[in-house]
Amino acid sequence: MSIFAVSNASVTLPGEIQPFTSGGKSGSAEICGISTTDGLKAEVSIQTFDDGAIHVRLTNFLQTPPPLYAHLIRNGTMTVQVRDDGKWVALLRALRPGGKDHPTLNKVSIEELDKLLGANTKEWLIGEGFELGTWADLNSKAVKHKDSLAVAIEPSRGNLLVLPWALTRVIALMKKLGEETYEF
Amino acid sequence: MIDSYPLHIPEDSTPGQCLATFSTSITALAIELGTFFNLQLSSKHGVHWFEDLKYQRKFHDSKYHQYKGFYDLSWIVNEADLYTDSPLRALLPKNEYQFYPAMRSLLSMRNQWYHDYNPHNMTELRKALNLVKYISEKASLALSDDLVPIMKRVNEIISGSYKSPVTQPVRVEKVEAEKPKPMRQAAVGAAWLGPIGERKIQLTASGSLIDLTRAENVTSELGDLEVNRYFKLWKKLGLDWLWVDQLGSVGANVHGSMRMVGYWGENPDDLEQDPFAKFLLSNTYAYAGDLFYEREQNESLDEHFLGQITKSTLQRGKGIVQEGDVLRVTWDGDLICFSDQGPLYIGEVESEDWFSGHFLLPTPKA
Repeated sequence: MSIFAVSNASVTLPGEIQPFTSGGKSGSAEICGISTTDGLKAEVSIQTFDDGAIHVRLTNFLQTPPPLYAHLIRNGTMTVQVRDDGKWVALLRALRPGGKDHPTLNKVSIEELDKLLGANTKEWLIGEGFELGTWADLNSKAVKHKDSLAVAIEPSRGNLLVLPWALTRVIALMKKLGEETYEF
Repeated sequence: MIDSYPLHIPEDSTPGQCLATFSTSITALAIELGTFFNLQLSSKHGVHWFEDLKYQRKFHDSKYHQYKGFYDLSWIVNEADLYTDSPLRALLPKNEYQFYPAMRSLLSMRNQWYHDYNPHNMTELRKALNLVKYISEKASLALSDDLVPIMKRVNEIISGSYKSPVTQPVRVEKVEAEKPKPMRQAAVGAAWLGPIGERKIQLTASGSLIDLTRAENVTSELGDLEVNRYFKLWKKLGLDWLWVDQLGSVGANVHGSMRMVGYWGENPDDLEQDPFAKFLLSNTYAYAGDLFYEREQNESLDEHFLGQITKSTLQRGKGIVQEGDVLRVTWDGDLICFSDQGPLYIGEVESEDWFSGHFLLPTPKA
């Protein structure tokens, strides 16, 4: 088991994979724990479906979540693609207010990520073994969102994608990304 | 790092740990910079360079502060920032337009930490360390690398992922005594002290206030929402859960930490609040000669059509704030400064006189 700090969230990776079924599809998942200083306790799963799809998403609230996180059970899924060299690649898009009544995944800049993390995001991600670049840099098959930020990582360390997931979903909601008219 | 001056690695989020890390980090910065300046300037101007420079400054400015030595952060920042002819400038990074403002901000933080207890928490410590890191990196100091494990630990403590192996003395004095009494909170914006309130309220997206225990809409308890400024503040901050204690103080999570956010009720008692503990607007300001300006955009305030209150506050500030000192405005319009001499309360300013977009809420009309 290993524990990681992501700004005001603590993420626990058990390091064990277990089988699961969801919506009639089966696969295997690593179920991580996340807890925050403002009372979110939840499970986040790295799901590898038998048909090859890979998702990182919140799967259970372990206690009634503060309302700002309530929608996270239904959105914020990170979809992972597998590159020709076998590495896992994923877009870094973050939850922020858009046209809908709840924050949705949108483009985010490295400066905004630094502010959310309270530290240098690039150094942090590279230190954990990620490649950081644009979606077009990291994924030759990129069609949409070519200039959005993205990460790539060895599949053996693919579970670490839960770290940027936590930053761009949970911390983005906590610190109200895109509504920064004040600073504390 | 100076070998004899190690940085303190915090074990937990208590004020003592925060202070130890804060103090050793900024002192290490001052020592490394001072040592470097001394080495360079002694070889160039002789060993009396510091005394000579002080004499020169004193000659032109009778109010010049008598600094004791070149390891004093206050001397370093003021000397480098205020005097364009300073010999320190040649030894500091060039074309880094944020470098001097960052040094100035750090000095202001130091003053705040030593004159006020409110910053003694991990979130404020992380802000300070980010500044020290930026400065030491740009100035190519060894401290920059030494800060890495410290900052990692601070992040781990904030997130709750670090548990100290140092056994804490177990406090067993409580024999399930009475419930802890609510404590008086310092100001709207201060870190919450003591147990949080038991009454849990949800502020809904539509602006209703629901008592979650009683399952009841209690919006009317706040009176006229058009004039209740705490309600307006909660909406502005996008708060959802609020906890009200027996004194009527309201707490909520703001950016992940529990803060005092206002008082409950129709006409809540606006108790005497500590202006230095209030929520601060994000902009910072300073005086330069006759101008009052915003530091980030370098934009000066148009002082032609100011109301009487703002005008007299700015006048007063001119008399008591040193050039370059960083000023802040609280969410409800107090202009304050954490100067070398201590916290200074300058007076009130009003939103309609101010830089547009800086205030969270307009100043209520008298």
